[in-house]
Amino acid sequence: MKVLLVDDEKELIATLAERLSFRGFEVDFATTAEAAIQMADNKTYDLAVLDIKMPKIRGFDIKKMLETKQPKMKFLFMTGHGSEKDFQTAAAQTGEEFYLVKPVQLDMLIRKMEQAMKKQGDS
Amino acid sequence: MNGTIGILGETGLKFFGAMTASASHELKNVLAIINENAGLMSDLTEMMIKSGAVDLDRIHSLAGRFGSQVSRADRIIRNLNQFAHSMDHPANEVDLCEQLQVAVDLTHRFAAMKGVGLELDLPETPVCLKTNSFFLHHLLWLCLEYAMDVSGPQKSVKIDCNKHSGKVNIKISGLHHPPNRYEEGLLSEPGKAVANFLGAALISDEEEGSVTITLPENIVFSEGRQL
Repeated sequence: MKVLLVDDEKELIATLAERLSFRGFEVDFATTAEAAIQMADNKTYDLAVLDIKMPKIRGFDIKKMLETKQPKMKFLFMTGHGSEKDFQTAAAQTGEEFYLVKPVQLDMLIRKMEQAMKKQGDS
Repeated sequence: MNGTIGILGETGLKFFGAMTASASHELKNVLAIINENAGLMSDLTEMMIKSGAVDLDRIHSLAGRFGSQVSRADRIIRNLNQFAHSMDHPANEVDLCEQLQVAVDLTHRFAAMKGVGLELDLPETPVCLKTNSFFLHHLLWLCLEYAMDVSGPQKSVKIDCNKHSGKVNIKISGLHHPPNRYEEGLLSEPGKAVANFLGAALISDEEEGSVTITLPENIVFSEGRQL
C-alpha cells in the first residue's frame, strides 16, 4: 500500500513513516499542504493520512485538493484537538468516517487504514 | 454583577478557554511524538535482537529526542502554570518582559496556524508595572490576534516595550491596517472593556503599521471595579 502522511509535526510524521515502512508499507510524508500536493503530482498513492489542523489549512481542505488530482485516493484523519467524542461530532458533520485521535496506536492506525481501503473501495 | 464586569467575565472565560485548549492540543502533539519514538525504540530493539547488531548511535539519537520533547512539554506546562496564576491577585507587580515572553509562547500555535512569525524584542532590564496580570494577558492576546490577521504579505509581527514618564508602552508592529478594521475589530466591546479595566490606551498608527498599548505604571481601580 502506498501511503502519504501529512502533518506539520515533522518528528511525529517521520517516525510514523519509518515504523510503517518496517511493516511493509511504502510511505512518504509531507509537513505542508503545498508539499503534499506536489508529491501527489509526482506519485500515485492508495491512501493519505491527514492531520485535521494544519497551518493555514484544514485537513478536510487538503483532502479536497488531493481528490481532484487522484480521485481514487482514500483518506484517514488524525487529530490532537479535543476528545474522541468532539471529533466524532465534527467527522459526522463533514461526512468523514475514518479518523484517529492522537496519540495513535500503530496497530489501530493500520487497522483503520485497511478499513478505509476496504470500505471506501466498496463505495 | 454590573454590565462591564459581566462583559469582562464572559470575555475572560472565553480567552482562558482558548489558551488552555491550545496548550492542551500542543501537549497532545508532544505525547504523540513520545508515543511514536517509544514505538520506534521497541521496533528497533526487536530488529537488533533478531540481527544481533546493536546500533548505539540510533539509541542515543532516540534518547535525545525523548529529552527534547520532555523539555518542550515542560515549557508548555510552565507557561500554562504562569498563565493560570495570573488570576491570583486583582493587581500585582509584573515584569512585562517575562509576561510578554509567556504571551508570545502561548500565542505561538495560533501564529503558526495563520503562518505568521512573532518576533519579541525585549529590553535587557525588567520593565515593571503593577496591574492585573490576567487581563493584561487578555489585552495582549486581543492585540496579537488582530495583528496576526492584518500582518500583510510579510507575515511578521514584532513586539517591543519600554517605560517612559510613568507610562508603560507595548508596541506591536508589522501591521497593514485595512480601513475601519481597527475600530471594528480590536476596539469591539470586549476589547474596550478590557482596555478600560486596565486603564490602557490603544493608539493605532496606520502609516507606521503599529498599535501601541499604553498602560499606567500602577493600575487604579475605580469604585466597584476591582475584581
